[in-house]
Amino acid sequence: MAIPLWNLTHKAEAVMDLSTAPTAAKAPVRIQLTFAHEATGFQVLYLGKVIWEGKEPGLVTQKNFDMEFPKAGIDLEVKAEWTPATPETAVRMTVTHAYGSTEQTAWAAKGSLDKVLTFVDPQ
Amino acid sequence: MATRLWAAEPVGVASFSTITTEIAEKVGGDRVKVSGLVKAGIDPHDYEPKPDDLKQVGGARLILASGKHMENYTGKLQESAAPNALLVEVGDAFSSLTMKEEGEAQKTVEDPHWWHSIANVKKAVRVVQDALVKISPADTGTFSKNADAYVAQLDQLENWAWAKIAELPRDKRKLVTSHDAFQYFARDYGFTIYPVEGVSTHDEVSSTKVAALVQTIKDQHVKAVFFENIENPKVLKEVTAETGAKIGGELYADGLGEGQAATYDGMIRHNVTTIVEALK
Repeated sequence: MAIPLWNLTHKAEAVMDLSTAPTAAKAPVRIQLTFAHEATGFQVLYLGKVIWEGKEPGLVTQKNFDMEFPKAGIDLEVKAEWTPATPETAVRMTVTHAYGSTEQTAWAAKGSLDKVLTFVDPQ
Repeated sequence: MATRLWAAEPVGVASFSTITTEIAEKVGGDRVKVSGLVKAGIDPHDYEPKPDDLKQVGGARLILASGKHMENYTGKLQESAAPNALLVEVGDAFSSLTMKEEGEAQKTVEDPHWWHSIANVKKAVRVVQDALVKISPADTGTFSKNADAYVAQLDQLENWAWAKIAELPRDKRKLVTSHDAFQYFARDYGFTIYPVEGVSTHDEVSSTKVAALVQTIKDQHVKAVFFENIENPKVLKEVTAETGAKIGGELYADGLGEGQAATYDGMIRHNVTTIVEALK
């Protein structure tokens, strides 16, 4: 099962749903991973520490974190692995926080990925 | 396909930057003979070629300079070069950041320290590859294979640098150094620069500027300041005494150095690790 790469890499720009957006910077941060092909495992690191990891997460997985989203933004490192037969693939990370929602896509060519993605205040 | 029955002489290369020296050696392999005239630890802002250096230029088929006005002696190089030699100012092949010239607020100058962006160095590899191919088309395959391998190493270095810098919160990425050499680094990795001097190591440091810097360090809660391998750290020591910030360590700003910093990979790893560990 797979999600077309085009869907991952040509999504509209960062969106913010004003009706539901929290107003405080300390509101939970939600991270969503959308895989073009099912990964065998993944890790997300923040400030050099693993904050989330999983095996066979399916095509879409998400989790809420009780952390502050600083105005300066955050860097999240995503590591993922696929079976060796997986063709060029991608993962989209969507971060929803007090200031809105932003997303970044990373490509993986050889069945593994280790990439730092930057998320800043979309405003 | 034609087969060469004997190996032609290696291409003579005269290089005026430690960075372009490494690139020429990596891309050219055994098909080049590189003379690095600006050695590790020499301030390229101060360097002037001596008559012996110009003799080596005369024997080279490719002359590599850093460009972006780092070398104010390229006219001399052109005069000394053999008629068929190619002079390439490598940094001029890609876009520049600009900055105010010290003491002349209305005038901007190109920032010549392009090698602190690994992305720029990958472009520089291709510039040197193209120049070598022009001079020795028979070695195109070798140059291409070597350049691809070096760029792959630089890709790995870039990933490592990103992962290391990601250990540092973005709001702590404030860099105080003894001269303003890290703009390209700051652009790539989200740092704000507070230099003691302007673009050149020749710039005088005014007491007004030092006082302003002391205030900024206090206001921004900067934990550490850095000095450079070929700079006098006196001013930074004064600044730390007044602010309580610590000396974060020595950075290699103007090219390769000794020990770990004798290679580009080692220099970047040294600088990035020093910065991240001091500012955490």
